[in-house]
Amino acid sequence: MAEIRFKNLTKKFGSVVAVDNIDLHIRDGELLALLGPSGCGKTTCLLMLAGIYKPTSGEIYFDDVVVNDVPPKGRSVGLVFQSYALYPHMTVYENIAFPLRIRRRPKDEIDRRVREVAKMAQIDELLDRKPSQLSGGQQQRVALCRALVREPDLLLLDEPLSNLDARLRIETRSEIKRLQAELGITTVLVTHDQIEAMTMAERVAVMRKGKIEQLSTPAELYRRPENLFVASFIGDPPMNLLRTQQSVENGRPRLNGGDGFVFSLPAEFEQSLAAATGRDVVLGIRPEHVKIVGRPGEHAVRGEVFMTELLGRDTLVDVRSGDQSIRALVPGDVPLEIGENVWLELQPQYVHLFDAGTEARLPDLDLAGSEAAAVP
Amino acid sequence: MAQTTPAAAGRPRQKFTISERLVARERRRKVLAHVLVYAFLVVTALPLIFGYGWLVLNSFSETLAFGVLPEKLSLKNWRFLVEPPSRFYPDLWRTTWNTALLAIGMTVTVVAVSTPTAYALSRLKFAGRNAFLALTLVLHAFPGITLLISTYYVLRALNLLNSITGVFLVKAALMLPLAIWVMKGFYDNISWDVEMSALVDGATRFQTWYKVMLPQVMPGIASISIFSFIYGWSEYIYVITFIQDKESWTLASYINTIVGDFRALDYGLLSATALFYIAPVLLFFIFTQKYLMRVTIGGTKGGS
Amino acid sequence: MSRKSKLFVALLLLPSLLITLVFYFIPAVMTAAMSFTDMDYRLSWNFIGWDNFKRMAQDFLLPRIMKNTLVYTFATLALFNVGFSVVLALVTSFVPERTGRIFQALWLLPRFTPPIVYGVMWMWILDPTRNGLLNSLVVASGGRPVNWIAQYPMATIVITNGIIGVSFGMIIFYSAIKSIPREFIWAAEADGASWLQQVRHVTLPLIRWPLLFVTAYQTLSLLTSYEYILILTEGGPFFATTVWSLYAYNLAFGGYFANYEFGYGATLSIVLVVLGTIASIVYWRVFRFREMMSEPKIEVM
Repeated sequence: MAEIRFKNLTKKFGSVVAVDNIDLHIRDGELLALLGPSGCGKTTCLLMLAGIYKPTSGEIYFDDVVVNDVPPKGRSVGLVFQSYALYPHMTVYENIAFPLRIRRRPKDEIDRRVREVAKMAQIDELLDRKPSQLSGGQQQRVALCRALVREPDLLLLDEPLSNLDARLRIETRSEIKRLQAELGITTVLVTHDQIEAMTMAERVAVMRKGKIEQLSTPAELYRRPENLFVASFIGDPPMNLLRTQQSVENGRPRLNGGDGFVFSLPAEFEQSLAAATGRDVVLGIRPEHVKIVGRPGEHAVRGEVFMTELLGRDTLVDVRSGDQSIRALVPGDVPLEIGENVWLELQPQYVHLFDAGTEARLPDLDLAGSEAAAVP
Repeated sequence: MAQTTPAAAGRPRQKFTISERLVARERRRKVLAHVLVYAFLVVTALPLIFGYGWLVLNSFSETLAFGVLPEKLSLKNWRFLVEPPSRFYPDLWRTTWNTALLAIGMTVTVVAVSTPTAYALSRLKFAGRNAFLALTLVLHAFPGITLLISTYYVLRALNLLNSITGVFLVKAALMLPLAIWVMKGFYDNISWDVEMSALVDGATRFQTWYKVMLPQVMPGIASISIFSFIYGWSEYIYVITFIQDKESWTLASYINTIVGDFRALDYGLLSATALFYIAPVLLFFIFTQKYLMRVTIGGTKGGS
Repeated sequence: MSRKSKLFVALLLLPSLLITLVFYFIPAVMTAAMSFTDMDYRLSWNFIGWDNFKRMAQDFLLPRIMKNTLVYTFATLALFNVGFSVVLALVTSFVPERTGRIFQALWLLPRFTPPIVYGVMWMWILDPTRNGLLNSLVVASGGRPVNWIAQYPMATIVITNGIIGVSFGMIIFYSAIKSIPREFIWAAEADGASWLQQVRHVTLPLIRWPLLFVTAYQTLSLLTSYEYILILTEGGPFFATTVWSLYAYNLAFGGYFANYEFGYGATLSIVLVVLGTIASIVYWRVFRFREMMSEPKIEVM
């Protein structure tokens, strides 16, 4: 087992900066996800952990040891690729045994451990097959077994579920999580799929352009995105982000979104908004926190239904209010006509405020903060 | 659509007859086109069909009517298998063995040299990699035969004139850029994930190459092996030029001499020895065409 | 790079480097050096300055040989290596795949036939007596035997080399044609184009890169190859089929004079070596081979 640290870690390919001065601490036994769009540097981080790439500058620590120059075979690491990367000319047994054979372990030990791990992953029936004779899910298990067979200190998973079909993905998700918890092995999961990251990881590092935008628990990520990127990236359907100008009227802060879109906030928010005095503010609210109400209210804005999409359990309603477009996620099938006038209630405790210039989250109010964001 | 005047009602029927005639004409034209195409294919291939057919038929018959049709079956022409055409000729089996040695030597050299180099060019980072790749590609197009005269000098200096080794080394050198290029293509097609996995699983780069990569490029090795073997076995000009010593003759020298001695006199002997010489190539050709095509195309990848 | 990984790379590359050095670089440099000597069978290095080049400029045979070279190269190229191979590629892609493959195999066979065996086949076909294939047909139809090789030497070497040369273009064009998206063909068919129109307006324009490639490559290989000419005519009768490369060979090793003129032979060769080097580099640039040099993705050894 190991804890991992990145210190000022940078990786450049020629003039392209793939990983930009990252600090990160992965706790012993933790399952941490690196989440981000393609090209954000997450796979580069993973391959540096594996020892395939060498950092351009900065250090990677396994416990207290700098491993920058330690080759892959000198690190105790297991790696599962999106493509599974099974050796096509070897049987399942030989694939799983490979990491042990290359280390010249005794034959009986190899045999025992291969069968053990195969049994755990329920592929002990398939040991004599070639990878080409297996289904995607089975190949995935073989890859996992191969990574786990020599009980590595660190398990690396590169988009391990992307090539599975939707149902299998859900099953495998919980299975990997169970295995990981059982073995207590430090694990880094790289993925572009937020659901995968949110459901499997204890903590998620959201990455963009080689930097970590936010590192926190999934719940925190959802409740309290620290900047506009995370706010827009996490959540499906994505958060409504409305660019507004702030003003004060009758002692209450108001956000003006153009062409009649005006939203008043309780007076307490003034402290919060003070951090962005004179600049535009982005008002964020998740579609599931927008309520469609029949009459005007204190925190309601007026709008016109532009489009509705039935998503199955819920309906996504797109409402135009002034210059702004707001999506509301409402349960069930709602009888709304396009063009119909509605009121949208944006409850202040669910509102996220961002500085439009720095893209950073404005400081939260203490009183609103605590229950503000109980997940519905 | 709803409106149907009597005139309009009549028209579709007329159209239908016309199109039926069109279809028939089209079908006739298609049949004609096929007949023409097949005729073209067969007629243009006639010299080849006659040429190779003659090799077989003539070698087993005493005379050919009209120079084409075998009249009397006989094994007379195959006497050379037990008794040389004249005292001047070296032992046939020794000559055959030399030919095989040339082919095998060339094959082993080409495979042993190109396989590691292609791996390095495909997968490893090192200073001068691009220069090396460029060199390989330029040499691939370069006509090595223009160096024949000075190669004679080089072989003499290395004491490799009149030796099979000398010829197979030269031939291997000529084949090398193509072989490296083909093998590099095979390595390029292996996913990086697999190689990375092997490293993470604890293999050294050498073990990765040997245990994980090599087994996957076996079809490539098979391709260049067959190609080299046939080219080594068939070699003419370097053998004729660099080997005078009868002890080191190959079948090419043997038949070349028969042509000189018996040309026009004994086509029976010529066709039998030629068939004897070409037989292994034919067998290879029939069973491994797929591999041969792969090299022919692989060697020219990027042009298309 | 660590010392160990340097050693590893060196081990992988060394054999190739050695072979390239011994059989390409040294001979190339040596050809250049030899061209300034009057080296003969004694193989002694006696430098004579530009004498060989002066001799070349005055060689009364050279104009004839240059003409032979050009006629041979471009006739073979136009008629067979490019012309007929395009036709064969089109035709074999038109018929069912299995049939097409059989005919392609047949045309591929000469390339893998030992040159002397291929030569023997043609000696029989073109035999001047009534024993040859062509003459037995001539005699059977009441004519008198023709000495084909002596009467039509240039046609002989063009046809015999051409038949070998078609397979290269055929295979490349065939795979290029097969990789044309079916939609293009269907679109042309829907527009009512006949097969020939499809070929002219769809297929040929889409394979123009392979066409250029084969033309360029085969020009160089025809300019420098002479093996089959050596077997069938030895360059005769009286230099009628002696091309540049064969002339150089014959000066050094040939049957006509066999006077081991290595020096002058090297002078003629160096012209081809320089030409070949320039052409190879140009091909490498033109055909954008550089694009194939992707960077390795593993940084450790």
